This record gives sequence, structure tokens and C-alpha cells, in this order.
Amino acid sequence: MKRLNNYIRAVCQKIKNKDLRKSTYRELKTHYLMKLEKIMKDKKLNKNEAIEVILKSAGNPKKIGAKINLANTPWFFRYPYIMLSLVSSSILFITVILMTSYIMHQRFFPKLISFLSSSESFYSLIIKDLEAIEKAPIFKPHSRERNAHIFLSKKFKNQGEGKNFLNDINAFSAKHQILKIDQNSFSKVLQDPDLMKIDTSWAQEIYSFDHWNYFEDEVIKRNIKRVSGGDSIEKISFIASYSIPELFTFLKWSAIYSLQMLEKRRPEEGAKFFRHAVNLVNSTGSNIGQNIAVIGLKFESKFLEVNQIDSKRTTVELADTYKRVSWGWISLVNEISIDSSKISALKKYMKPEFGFCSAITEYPMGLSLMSSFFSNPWPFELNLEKEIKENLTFQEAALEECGLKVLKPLLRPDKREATWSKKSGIGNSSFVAVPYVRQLLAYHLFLTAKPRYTSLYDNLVVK
Amino acid sequence: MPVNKELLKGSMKTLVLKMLLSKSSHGYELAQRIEQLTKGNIILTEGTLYPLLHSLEADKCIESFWEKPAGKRKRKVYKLTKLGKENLSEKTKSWNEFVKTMKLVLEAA
Repeated sequence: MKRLNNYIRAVCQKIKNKDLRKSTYRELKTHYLMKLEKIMKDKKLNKNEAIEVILKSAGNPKKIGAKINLANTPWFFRYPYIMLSLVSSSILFITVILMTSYIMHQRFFPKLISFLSSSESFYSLIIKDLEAIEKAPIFKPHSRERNAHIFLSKKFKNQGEGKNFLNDINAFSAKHQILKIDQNSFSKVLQDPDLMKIDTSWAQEIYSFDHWNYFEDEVIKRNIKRVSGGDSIEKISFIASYSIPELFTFLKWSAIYSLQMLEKRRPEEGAKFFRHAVNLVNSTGSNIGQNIAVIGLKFESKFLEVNQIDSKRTTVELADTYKRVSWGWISLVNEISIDSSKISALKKYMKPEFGFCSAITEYPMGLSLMSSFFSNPWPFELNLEKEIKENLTFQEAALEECGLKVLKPLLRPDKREATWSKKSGIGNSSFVAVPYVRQLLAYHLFLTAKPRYTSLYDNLVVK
Repeated sequence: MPVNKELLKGSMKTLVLKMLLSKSSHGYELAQRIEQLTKGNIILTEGTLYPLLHSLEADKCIESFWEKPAGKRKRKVYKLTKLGKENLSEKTKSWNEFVKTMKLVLEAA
């Protein structure tokens, strides 16, 4: 009997849990005693002989004990190496999250907030520029509402077989750098026989189109609503090219016309026409249009100076001021927090003649476009939803202020707009799903897209 | 003819669950019932039976309790649980499917 007990003990030695060991010992003991009785009875053997039979077929006690022990071991203790690697990975992951959080909160977020907020110098610079424009207005406040889109589209398409006409303008312009012409080059351009070959016979018809505040036109109102369902790129392309197709080529063509007038010894007529063209280009209300208009203002300035035309001339410096202001408004409306005291000072300048439209028409490229990167973040990320909402309220108020309510649909991001970033290549990349990476990405995109007003002063070389 | 051990390996749990479906039993009784039912073709050794019972108990397919019948030894009895019944039903289904498929293949060959 001792041998059988020793065998059962050997099995149980492998069981680590004390209670389980005791209960298994009792269970096995009962089992073997029943078996022992049966063998003794069936085979007519004595106890020792029956024990011998049992032990012969009993198997390795250590192996059996180990199997019983394993069956009672929770799964996560059965594979210690897997568990260890899982625990280590979790610790590593949490450490990375905590470290990243620390770095982001200590370094990145303050930097981002400061980037998205205006500095004192920003306000003083833009106010100074706006005051300069107020003293010597470049563009008049207008009210007529006409649209040159259909007219110009037809002309560009039908004149000189379409593309050739536009190519000829661009080629001639490139040959003489027309819009950057200097005082000594005028005579050279006038001597070029190709100058008079470019068709400007229909130029005078342009005077029928003077579309300041053209946003109030019923057709464009409908189109603004239609395009507001599109993405930011669609909105900007639409606004930038709606009233004047081939904006830049149109300005070059207008410069060519004024030079033709100069050749015909009617420079005043040329100057008058060119100013009208600049007005049209500027009134597209886009930053692109306003910047092209600035190029036109510089050409006009030289044209008037060379021909000693007694007309009110916009200096090159003032033209650059207008350019800075155009970018400045965009920068302003991309601020996440706008100082209300500064706003009241800026309010009176929120008008098309101060270049304000660029702020609205270019706006969807900025904060609105990036809003999906800053909303619905992980709990530990930066949440700018509140600021973005406040900014939109400011935008709408600004539109009311300058009588551009009609542009409201361009501001409020619709359902498609909110998911634009997700639909785009960047938005679809797996990086966007990683906490913080999305916001870092947005910051860098913003860094590229958002103009920084103060740096305009450093980069803009006045010629 | 004793059943091939390798074939039996994957079906042990089904076998034990099925036995406990009809009657709760202690380990020795269970081994005896299987041996009798299979006419000695399947003999469960202690080294196979007890790790299997403990494993099924850990998986909550069976539960155990101690009983002391009058004039007999105290013994640990195993009983099928609700989860065990569900598990058995699934295992039976897949076993029948397996047998049907094997039969198809073997008869076709």
C-alpha cells in the first residue's frame, strides 16, 4: 500500500496549489482504492499483486502531475514568455504615450497656439498698412454689378483660334517681360512689329463690364450656393476665376493694349483702359486676383511715370502695401483667437477696397480645411473645436460688416468639407489615425499654407 | 480492437462530456463506463482522465462536488454544466460532419 501512496504523492508533488494538491491526492486515492478492490476481486489477486498490476500501467507520475497542474493553471500563466512580452510591450506603449504627451503639451502645443494667434506686431503692421491705403485709396468703393465671364470666355475662345491667341499674348509678354517693364524697355517693345499683331479690336467693349461687388449678382449667388457643397480647392478656383477667366493672361493682354495705344500716341487712353483692367482683376475678390492686380498697379505706375500722364499714380510701395494687406487678412482670419479690442480697430477696414475679400475667399484653405484635423481628437490631444467655432462666428460677423453676406456658404464647412482631409491623400494615410501625428501634420500643412504677416515684410523686397 | 490513440486524442473531451450528459460520475466510474460501453476498446488511464477532467472544469464545461454515499468512500463527482452542454452539442455536430465527410471520401475511393 505504501508503494501506491508514494506513487500518488509523486503525482501530487507536481501540483503547485496546496488546496488542489490535497484534493487531487484524495481524489486519486479513492480512484486507486476502487481500482485495487476491483482487480483483487476480478483477478483473484492479493493486495500486493494487485498494486503491482496498477503500478505497471500507471505511467510516469511526474508527467501526470505536471499535466494536472497545467490544466488548473490560468492561460496567462501557461505561456510566461508571451505574457512577459505582452506586459513589456504595454509598458513600452504607455511610456511612449506619456513621453509623447509630455513633449506635445510642453513644447508643441504652446508653439502651435502661438502660431495660430496673432502677435502685437501683426496688428500694428496691418493697421499701419490699412491707414496708408486709407490715406491714398487704390480702389474705389463700387456698387455696379456686372460680370465679364461670359464675354471674356467667348473672346478668348474665338479670337485667333482660341489657344493660339492666348499663347501669342503669353509669348509676347514673356519676350519683353511686359508686366515688369522698366523705363528703358518701353521703346524696345514699341519697336517690336509683333506688338500690333495681337488682336485688341474688341478691347473697348470691356467698359461694359465693371463688376465691383459682383458677388451680389443673382447668377453668382446661385453659383456660390452650388460651389459651397464642394471642397476648398473647388471653392477657391471658382471664386478666383469666375468673373475673369485667364486672369493673368487678361492682364498681360490689357498691358499690350495700353502699349498699342502708346504706339498710336494715345497713352491716356491706354492708361485708362489698363486701370479698368486692374480694377476688374482686383474685384475677383480672391487673393490671387488681388496679387495679380498688384502686378498691374506696378506696371501702371511705370506707364504713367514714363508717359508723364497727370493721373493719380499708385506708388510701387503702396502696391506692395496692398499685397501685404491681402495676405494679412488671410492670416488674420486663420487666427484661432482674435483679440476683440483689435477687431474693433480693424472693423472699418473690412471692405473690398481694403482687400478684405481675400480673407473670405481664401479662408477655406486655412482653419476650416484643417478643422477636421483639430476636432474629434483623442482625449489627450489638443482640441481646438471651440476656438474654430468662435473663429467662424467672427468670420460671419466680418462678412456682415463689409456687406458680403452672400459669401457665407463658403465659410461654414458642410458635411463634405468636414471630411475633406479624410478624403484627400493625406487624410487617407494611416498616419492620420495616430494620436498627435494628425495634429503635427496639420501644423506643418498650416505652416506652409498660412501666411505669416510679419514675415511678409522680410520677404517682400520693394523694387 | 483498441481504438488508435492518435485518432482518439481529439475526441476525448467529447467522449467525457457525452458520458456526463447522461449521468454525473466520479473519475473511476467514468473510466469504467467508457470501457464497458466501448467493450474495452477505449481504456482511459488515470494519466489521461484526470488532466482532462481538470481541464474541462477549468473551462467551466463541468463542475465537481464531493459526495459520501453511506458505507462508501468519499469521492469527487463531476457534473455537466450549461456551457458543457452547448460545447458538447457543437462538438457532436462537427464530429458528425467529419465522419460524414470521411465516409464520403473513403467510399468514393
